[in-house]
Amino acid sequence: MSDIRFQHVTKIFGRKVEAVKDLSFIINDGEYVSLIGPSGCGKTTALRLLAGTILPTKGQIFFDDKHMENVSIQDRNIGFVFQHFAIFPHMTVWENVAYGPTVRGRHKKDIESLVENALKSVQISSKAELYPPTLSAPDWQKTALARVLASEARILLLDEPLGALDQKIREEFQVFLRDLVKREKLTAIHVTHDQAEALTISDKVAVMNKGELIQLGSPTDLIYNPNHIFTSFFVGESDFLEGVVINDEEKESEVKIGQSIIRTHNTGVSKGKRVAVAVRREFFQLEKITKDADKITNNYINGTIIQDQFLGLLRRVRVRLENQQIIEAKIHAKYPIHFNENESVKVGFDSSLSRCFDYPKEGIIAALEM
Amino acid sequence: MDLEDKKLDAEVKMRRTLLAAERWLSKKGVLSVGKVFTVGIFILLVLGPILYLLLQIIISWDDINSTVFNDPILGNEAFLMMMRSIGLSLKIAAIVTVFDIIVGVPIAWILARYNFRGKNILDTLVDMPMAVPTSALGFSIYLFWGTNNGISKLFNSEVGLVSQGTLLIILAHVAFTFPYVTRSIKGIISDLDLNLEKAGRTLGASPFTIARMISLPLVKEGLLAGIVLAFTRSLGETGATLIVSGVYQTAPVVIVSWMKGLKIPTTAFLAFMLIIISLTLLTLVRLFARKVGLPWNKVFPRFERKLSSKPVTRTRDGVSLFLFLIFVFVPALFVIVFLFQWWGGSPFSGDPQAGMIYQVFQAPDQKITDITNALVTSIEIALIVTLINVIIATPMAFFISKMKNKKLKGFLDLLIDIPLVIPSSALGFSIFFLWGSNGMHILSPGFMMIIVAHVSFTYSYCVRPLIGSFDAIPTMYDEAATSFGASKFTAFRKVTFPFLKSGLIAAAIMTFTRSMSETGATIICMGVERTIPVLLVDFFEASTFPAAAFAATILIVISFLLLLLLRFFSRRKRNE
Repeated sequence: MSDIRFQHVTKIFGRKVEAVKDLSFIINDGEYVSLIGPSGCGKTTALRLLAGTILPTKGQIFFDDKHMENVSIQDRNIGFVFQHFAIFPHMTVWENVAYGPTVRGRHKKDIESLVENALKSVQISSKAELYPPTLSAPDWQKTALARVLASEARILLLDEPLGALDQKIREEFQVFLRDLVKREKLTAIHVTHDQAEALTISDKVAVMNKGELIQLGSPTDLIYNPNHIFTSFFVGESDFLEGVVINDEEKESEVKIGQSIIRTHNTGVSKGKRVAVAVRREFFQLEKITKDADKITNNYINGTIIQDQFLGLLRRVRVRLENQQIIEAKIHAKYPIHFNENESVKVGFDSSLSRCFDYPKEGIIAALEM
Repeated sequence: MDLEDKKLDAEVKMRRTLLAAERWLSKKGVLSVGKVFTVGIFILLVLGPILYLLLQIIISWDDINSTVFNDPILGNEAFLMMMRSIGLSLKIAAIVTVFDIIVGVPIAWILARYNFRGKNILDTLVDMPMAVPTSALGFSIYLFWGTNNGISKLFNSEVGLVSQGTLLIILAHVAFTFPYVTRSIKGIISDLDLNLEKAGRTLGASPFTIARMISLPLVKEGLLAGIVLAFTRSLGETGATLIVSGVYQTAPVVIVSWMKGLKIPTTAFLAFMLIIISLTLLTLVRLFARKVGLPWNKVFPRFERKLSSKPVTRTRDGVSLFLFLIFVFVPALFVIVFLFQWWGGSPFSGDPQAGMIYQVFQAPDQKITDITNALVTSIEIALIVTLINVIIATPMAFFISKMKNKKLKGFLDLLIDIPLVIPSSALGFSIFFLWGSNGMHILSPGFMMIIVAHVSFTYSYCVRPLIGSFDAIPTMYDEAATSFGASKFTAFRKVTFPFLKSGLIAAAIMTFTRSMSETGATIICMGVERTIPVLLVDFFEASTFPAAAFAATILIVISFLLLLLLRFFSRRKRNE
C-alpha cells in the first residue's frame, strides 16, 4: 500500500511567491500519474514536496495515512529519478545500484540479491561492472531505475526522466517505464513537459497552472472531457468560439455565434449566458461550399480560407469565420483536399466533441494566462 | 577633404601592414619556431637550472663524495646533518598537512555551501596567508606565540607560550599552507552536482554518509593536489622558518646557512635531494591520484546519522572556524597589534629608544632609508618579473591549452608545476649554480640574478591560471574569426585576447604578489640589495622587533591590497 494524499498544501518561497496553492488530491496505490503544466506551474515543486527536499508552508502530505512532516528525505522510502539521472560517476553500475541498501545497512547477501534482481529487471546486468562515464544516456536511465528498485522504494518520483533522451528512444522508454512500474507494482509520479508522453504513459494526468490543480483525470478525459477551459487550452490545441446560449436541453445546448446557431455538448451552462465553445483543432471538419454536396448538414459556421499549410501528416488551415474570429483547423492528411485563399467553406464539428464553458469575466486571454 | 582622405589612406595602409605581418606570423613555419622558442625559454629558465644541478652532481661526484661523505675533518657529518634536517622537514610537513586537512576541508565546505553575511570577508581572510610574505607571517606568529607580547599576556606570563622550534614551525606553516587545501577543493565542492547528493538522500543515506561516499571521492583529485602543494610548501619554506626555527634547522634553512658559508658542494647536494623528494611526490600524485581509491565502503547508518545531526555539524563548523581564528587569523595579524604596542616606546619599560618611531625614523642607522630602498627594490623586481612572465607565459599557456596530443600535454602540464613544488631556496640555489660563477658565469649574485630566480619560481603562478583562461574561451569565436579570413594571429589579437584580459591581469597580480613575498631564493641570489621580506629577516636577526613589525605591517597591507585587486579581477572573469 502506497497511496499519497495532499491536503490543502501550499508552498510559499521567500515571502510572496506561491509555488503551490492549496493543492489537494489523492493518488492511489499502484497508479501512474503524470503532472503537466506550463513552466512555473508548480509541478516540480509538488514533486520536491513529495520527496521532502522542501517542506510545505501550509497543509499536510500523507503516505498511507502517515503524516510526512517530520519524516526526513532519507526515511521517506521514495525513489527519485532525476532529469540527468544523477548517477554517481565514481562508482560502477553495480555500486550505484547497491548504494541504497548499503547505506541503509543491509546485509551483504540481501544487497547482492536486491542488486541482481534490479539489474535484471531493467536489463542492464551485462554492464554491471562498467563506470557510468563510459555508458550512454539510455544506460544511465536504466541504472537510475535499477538503483531505485534496489532501494525497495514503493513510490517512484520521476523529474523529466526522459527529457535527456532522443525522441525515438524516448518513445521506447515510455513503454518500458510503464511496464516496469506496473510489473514492480510501484506508485509513480512523473513530471514532464511533454504532453504526448504524459498521455501515453499514465493512468491519470494532473494539469496544473499557477500553482493550482486544474484537472486530475485519465488521458482520454483530458482530451474528450475537459472540465476546465484551461485544460482544453493547454492539453492539445483548441479554439474558443464566443457566443450566447439560446437553448439548453438535457444533453445539448444551442449557442448563437455571430449569425449562426450551433449545437454543443451541455456542460451545465444555462440559457442566456455568454459562453466560450471549445473545439479541438483536430476535431474541426472543413467542407467546400458547392451546390451539390452538403455533408455537414446541421452544425457549422461559414468561413473564408486564409491559408492552407501542409505540415506532413496534418494540414493547418486558417479560416476567418463569419463573425470575423479566426480559427485553425488541423486536417488529417488522409483527406487530400486543398483549399484556396478566399475560398468559402463550412466549418463544422461533432457537437459531442465540443465543450461549452462560461465566458471568463477577465476575458479569454487573461483566463488562459500561464 | 583631401587631408582626411590621406589620413584614411594612411590608416588603411597601416592596418594592411599589420595584417600582413600577422599573416606572416601565422605561417606554419613561423608558428613552429614560436612554439620551439616558447618551450625553449621555459626549459632555459625553469628546467635548465634543475637539470644543470643534477648534471653537476653526477659530473663532480668525486668532489661531493669528498665533502659530503668523506670530509677529512668532519667525515660524513655533513651528510648526517642533511639527513637530520630533511627528516625534520618531512616530519614537520607531514604534521602540518594533517592539520591543514583538519582546518582546511571544513572551511572549504563552509565557503562553498553556506550562505551567510561576511562570507566574502572570510573567503578573503582564508586566502590572505598565501599572499602575505611568509617572513612577515612567521614574524607575526612568533610575536604572538613566542614572545611575552602575545598570547602569554592572557596568562600573565613573562615568557612566550611556545618557544622557537618544531612546534612553532608547525604553527607558522599551518597558517600559510592550509589555504592551499581550502582553495584546491572549494571550487570543486561548489561545482558538484547537488542532484548527486539529493539522489543519495532519497536512497536513504545521511548527509555524513553522502559527504564521505559521494562528495569526497569526487573532490579527491583536487584535494590530493592541494595536499601536495601544502606539503611541498611546508617542506620548502624559508622565510618564516628562518624566524621561528631557532636552533632547529629545517632543510631549506640549512641551504641558506651553508650558502652563506659558501659550502657550494654540500649545498648543491642538499638542494638536489630536496628537489628529488618534491619531484617524486608531484609525479606520484599526478600518476596515481585518479587510482587512489577510498576503499572504505562499510556503512554504519546509525552512527553516521548521529554525525549528521545538527548539533554535531554545528560544532564541527564552529570548531573549524575557531581553529582558523586562533591559529591563523589572530597570530597572522598580531604584528599590527605589536606595532601599536611598541609605537612610541617599550610597553614594559616605557623606553622610547625601544619604540618603533625611534628605531625606524630617529636612530642613527636610518632604518627608514633601508626600508624605502628595500621596498623600491622589491617593487622594481616584482614589476620586471611580472612583465617578463606575462610575455613568456602567455604563448606557453596558449600552446598547452590548444595542444591535441594528450600525453605530451599531460607531460608539459606536469613540468609546469615543478617550480610550484620544489623549495624556492633549492631552486634559487640551482639558478645561482647555473648562471653564476660555477656555471655559465653570466650573472653574479644581485639584482639581475634575483630577477632570473623570481621569473623561474613565479612562472607556474602565471601559466597555470592562463591555461585555465584559455581553456574557458569557446573555440567557436576563434573559428568564426578564421572563417571570415582572419589569420591565426589576427584572430588571437581581435577575438581571443579580449576574453583573456581579466585572466591575464589576475595572473599578473599573482606573479607580482609571489615575487614581492619570496625569501628563500632571494637570500641565495642577492648581492648587497635587500628585498623587503629579506630585510625583515635581517631586522629580526638584529633583534630590532619594532622596526621588523613596521616592515611586516607594510608588507601585510600591500599584500592585502593586492589580494583585493586579485579578487576583483577574478570575479570579473567569472562574470564574463
